Amino acid sequence: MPADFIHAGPSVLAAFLASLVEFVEALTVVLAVGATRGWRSALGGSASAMLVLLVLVAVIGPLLTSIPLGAVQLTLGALALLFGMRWLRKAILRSAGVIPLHDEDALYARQREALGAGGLRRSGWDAMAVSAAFKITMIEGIEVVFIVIAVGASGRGLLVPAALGALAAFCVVVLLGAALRRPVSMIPENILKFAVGVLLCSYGTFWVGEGASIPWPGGDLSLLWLCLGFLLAALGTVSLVTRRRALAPAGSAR
Amino acid sequence: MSENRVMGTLRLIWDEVWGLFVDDGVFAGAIVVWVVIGWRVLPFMGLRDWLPAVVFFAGLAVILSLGALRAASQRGT
Repeated sequence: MPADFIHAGPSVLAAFLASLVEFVEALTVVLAVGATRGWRSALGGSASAMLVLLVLVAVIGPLLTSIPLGAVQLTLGALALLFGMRWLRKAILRSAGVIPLHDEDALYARQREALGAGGLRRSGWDAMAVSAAFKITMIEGIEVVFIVIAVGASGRGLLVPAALGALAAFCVVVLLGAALRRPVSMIPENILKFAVGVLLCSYGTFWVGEGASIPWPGGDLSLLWLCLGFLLAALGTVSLVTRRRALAPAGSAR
Repeated sequence: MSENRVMGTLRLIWDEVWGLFVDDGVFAGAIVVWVVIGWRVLPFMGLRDWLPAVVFFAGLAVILSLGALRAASQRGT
């Protein structure tokens, strides 16, 4: 059914791509912790964070269904816009060369150095390792939970497709991590962030409009022109920033 | 983990969660103000059916572009 595909397809895709980026970042740090200070603490810290996240989801999920749909759409739409526009702006700045691209290999090396590589591997529980793995899993996991809720909690049965998208990303990253035993640095992270930023901005705009009773031309198909509109606006801004950088007098860039 | 480490971890997680939505107060403030306008003003302006949606989207696109240009110039472009 086209209407179902139009809703569920972008939800699954947005949740999958955004979660992929977050899980790759978490994997880099967990791999660094495991390789440096022992796998028991690294995996223990990650597992505890995932348990806390599951409890959070179990508490937040039913709460959302008890709030009027208009209020949920307005609030989640506004949060999706804050989150998505921040992501998209950062992706624009990275594409234009204003800020450096995210480098998983460099992050891995920094983390290993910070955790004290060489001779610090411990066999028992290691508080620093547990804390580091817990922190990164919790931080990236909260982002995944928010993304799934933002694209899925519309009252149209999209939460499950969005959660499945995130679960698929988790499986892909865990399999890649287990196979490679090093950071997954071959994923074009900024292109993914650019795409996810466009999707989140489109969803956020659409939900706020729905919550505020703004009529959308084309109804649900508006998501398509919103995606195209944000993509064009973002690409236009990349070109504008790049041109301004090229015209800036040499030495003015910090 | 000691109590200090636990509190430090929770504090850091809270800061990160806040940072998910707000890393530039002016940019985030502009988005929130525009959302409030989209909610409380645009639907009641008596505009043609499709116009409030287009105006709402256009405002956000402008905020995005100006936000990126402002951030780029702050970084020395």
